[in-house]
Amino acid sequence: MPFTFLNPMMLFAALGAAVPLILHLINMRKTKRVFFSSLHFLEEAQVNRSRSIGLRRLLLLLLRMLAIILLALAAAAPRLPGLSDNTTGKYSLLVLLDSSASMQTVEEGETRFSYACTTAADICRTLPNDSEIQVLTLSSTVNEFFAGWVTAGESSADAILQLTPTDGSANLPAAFKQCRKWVEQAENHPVDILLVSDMQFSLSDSTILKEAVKELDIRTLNAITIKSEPADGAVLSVGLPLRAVVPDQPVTITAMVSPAVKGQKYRLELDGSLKAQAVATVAPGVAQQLAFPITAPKAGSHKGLIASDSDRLRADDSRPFVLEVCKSINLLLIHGQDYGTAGRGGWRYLETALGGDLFNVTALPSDKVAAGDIATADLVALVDPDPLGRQILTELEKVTTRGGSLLLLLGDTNRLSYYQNTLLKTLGQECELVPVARSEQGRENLTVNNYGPVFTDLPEAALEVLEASIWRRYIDVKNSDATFEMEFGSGSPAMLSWSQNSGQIILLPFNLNNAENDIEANAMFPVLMQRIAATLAVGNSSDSIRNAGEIVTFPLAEIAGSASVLLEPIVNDKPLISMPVNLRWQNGIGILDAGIVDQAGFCWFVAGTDTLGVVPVTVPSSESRNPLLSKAEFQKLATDAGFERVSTLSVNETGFISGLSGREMAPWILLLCVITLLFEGYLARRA
Amino acid sequence: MSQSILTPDQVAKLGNLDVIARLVVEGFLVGLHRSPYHGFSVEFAEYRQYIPGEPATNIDWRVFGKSDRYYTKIYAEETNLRATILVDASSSMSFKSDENTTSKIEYARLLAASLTYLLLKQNDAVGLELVSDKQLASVPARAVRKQLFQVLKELDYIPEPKSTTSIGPVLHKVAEKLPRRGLIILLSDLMDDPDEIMSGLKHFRYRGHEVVIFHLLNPQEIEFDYRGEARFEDLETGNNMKIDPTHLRTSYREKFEQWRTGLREECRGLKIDFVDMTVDTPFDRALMAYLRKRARMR
Repeated sequence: MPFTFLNPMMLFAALGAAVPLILHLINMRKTKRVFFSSLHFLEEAQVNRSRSIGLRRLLLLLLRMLAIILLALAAAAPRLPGLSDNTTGKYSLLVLLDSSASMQTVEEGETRFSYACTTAADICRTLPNDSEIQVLTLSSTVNEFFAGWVTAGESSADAILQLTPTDGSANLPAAFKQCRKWVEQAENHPVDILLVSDMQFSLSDSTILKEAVKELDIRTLNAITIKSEPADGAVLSVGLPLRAVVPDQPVTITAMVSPAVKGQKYRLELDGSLKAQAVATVAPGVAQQLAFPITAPKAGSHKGLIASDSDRLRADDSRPFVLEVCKSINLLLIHGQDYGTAGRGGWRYLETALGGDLFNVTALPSDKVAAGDIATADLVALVDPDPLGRQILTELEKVTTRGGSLLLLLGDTNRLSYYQNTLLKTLGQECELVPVARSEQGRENLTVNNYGPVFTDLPEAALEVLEASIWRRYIDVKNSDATFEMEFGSGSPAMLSWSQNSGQIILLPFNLNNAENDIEANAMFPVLMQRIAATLAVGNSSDSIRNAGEIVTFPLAEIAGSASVLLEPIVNDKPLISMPVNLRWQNGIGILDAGIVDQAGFCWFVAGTDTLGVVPVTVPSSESRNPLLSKAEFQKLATDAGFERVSTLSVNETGFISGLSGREMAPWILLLCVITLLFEGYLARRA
Repeated sequence: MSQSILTPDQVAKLGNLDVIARLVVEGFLVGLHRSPYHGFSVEFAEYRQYIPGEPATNIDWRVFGKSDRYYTKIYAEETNLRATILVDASSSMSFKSDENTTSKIEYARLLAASLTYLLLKQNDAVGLELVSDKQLASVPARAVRKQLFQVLKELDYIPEPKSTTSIGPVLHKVAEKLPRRGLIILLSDLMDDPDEIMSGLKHFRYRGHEVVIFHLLNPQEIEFDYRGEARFEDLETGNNMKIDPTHLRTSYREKFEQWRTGLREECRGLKIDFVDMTVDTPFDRALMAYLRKRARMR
């Protein structure tokens, strides 16, 4: 009901509006008769006036009726209900309090979250006696603040003020899903839902929101917006080296930033010490990629931070990452038996190509490989292997399960059936390997199709050398859904890549022949192989950075004793948080699961005194990048989601309190009545 | 019967006016009217005490011989002014704004009677023409006493007006019929086609007549001060229209005044006296206003 009335009986006085109507009708019927000497002058004066007069009389009638209706309405003392208003007395209010990272933005000395808590607490105090309240904090996960519905009042209001924000992003659909449960448990119905938020939502799929609202049997949403301008100065993302890094190697770490001021300085810290600086040159609010060239430190995991001076939202001014530097990559090279025929023994070209500091190559024939060899290798390469045992195949699959990678060089036309039906199927690639007819085995040039991590930052001249190489192919790969990284001139793939579980697999469907003018003779061959291997062996990935509000896990090669997680916040003034971890199994791999971590920082997985690894947790970039919805935009969002009535108030707008507690409408209606009467008088005089 | 029209009070008021001399000076007297004191029919009226400085020729020595006082003789001068009073008896003349007021035709009757009485008292010949779209009655001008009764009789029997005002053609007929060089006094609201009226009036002027128009109107016709919506019915045509007078008042007044001004201007062009009268104008003031105007035209 949009209005409540103090004297609803007075609404019957609105029937008085019929009086002018009746008088009008009577007057229309009863017209006096006047004899006049001549109508000549009246007829002349009457021209063009009769129609406007008729309209004016009708308007006068309507104005008179409106004035009477307004008077009756004012006498009934209407009141516009506020967000904390209800007509039944007892009241159940479900508060959805946005506790996402953007709520930490400082507005006039207070954070948005602080304003939100104060507002929710104020509402809690003003609720009628015996009303009940529940608060759900709205972040990546939705948590109930009280164990159940509690009586609204001073004590619950004080408790609300103790809430703290998270570094996650607000998950609106999850909140509405949770609402259903609490609405069912509420004592008083209907339950009112009050959303207190800065209206910054990450909604990738509006259908999820619709579904969530559909399940809810409430179609009214009250919202209080707390916001001003979005905070800038954020570090939106960090780009880590795409290939394995060894100590003292020059590497470039990039960061996408959105400066608060032009010329804002950003710094890169590794293990707490400043390593590089960069200055943003774009206008405030515009995203820019900054490059931080550094020299890789000693082997190991290094916690890094790209940070800037804080603006109004400190949480997104620093973005953590972990730089993995390896001493060398243990590469296990599994090859088939050498029996002198063409296509065999080519693995040695690969072994030679990967010689150097970065790789530590162990070559084993297929029948000598043990499961343990595979488990301890950083990268496994298979070069025309003989059929492998079931255990070895399972072990290879496990490699991808724990995020490891495989390099396949398959060119032996005698083993095509095994490769196609067993090896590649096990590794998640359903394709057809077809031998190329001898008549078509001409040498072909290469084309790089996908400038992925293997080819990134390769000089143009090197690419030209690579593409000028002549390649003899014996196998064609058909019906593959893998990415064609390189192609022959005829269009058949020369290098394919796909993902299996969490690992990456690259297939080169050709032999490494000792043939003159073939690929092995190309100057770029060692570089290409090293790049492929380093890409596959990479320990750094931007994907390793978790967003606050997500589950943080760490894969274990061996089962640890009792492990735990220490969360080291990025912001120094926050304390170190210790969290328990659970060990669970996934595809035979032990996973340490710290659960949902809703604060940005470094999650150190420790077992006893040993550090197992570190996972950086950061504020979701959507918290910096997503716009704050305006009232109208939010209303549209909520209406589209299925709410039929959406009331929105801004906490910093004038009249907020009256909006909260309702508004007497009688003075405004009386004012409207006076205006109507003045207009009526003006029209009547003109008539 | 005449008493109901012309009260003795009114007659007495008119009788005290010195109208004769002015009419003579204006040249409406034929023949010996060049000088007011040399007419061929001078009738003794009364004695007045001699005022030193006056010419001694007017002293009545016979009276001096009897009473030893100087008296001068005052003569009532007889003129042969031939005046014809035209009374418009069309339907529009029967208009009255409410039951208690005088209609224009009633007022015209009283005024015509008054004028007849006045003119006969001056020994002028008076005639009457009652016109609407045709000649309703006609009394040829004569200067005899009983002429008054003749005129009043016709005025008493003005028939209930039913016709539309179309006095233009009738004016032509009257102009043809009347002897030349008389005085035409038209009592009408002139609610007819102005061109036709002017055409008739021009005919009078062409025949050497002096014309005076008493334009009779009801104040409501000028002010149009009606309230509330009403159905207005034309007295002449019977047409009606439903209007709210308040909406049309200003526009009506403009149109009406425009018409009156037009009539006035045209009459001035024809050297016709045009006297605005309303039914609440007192008779004496109306007549005196007219006579004064004549005096100024000398």
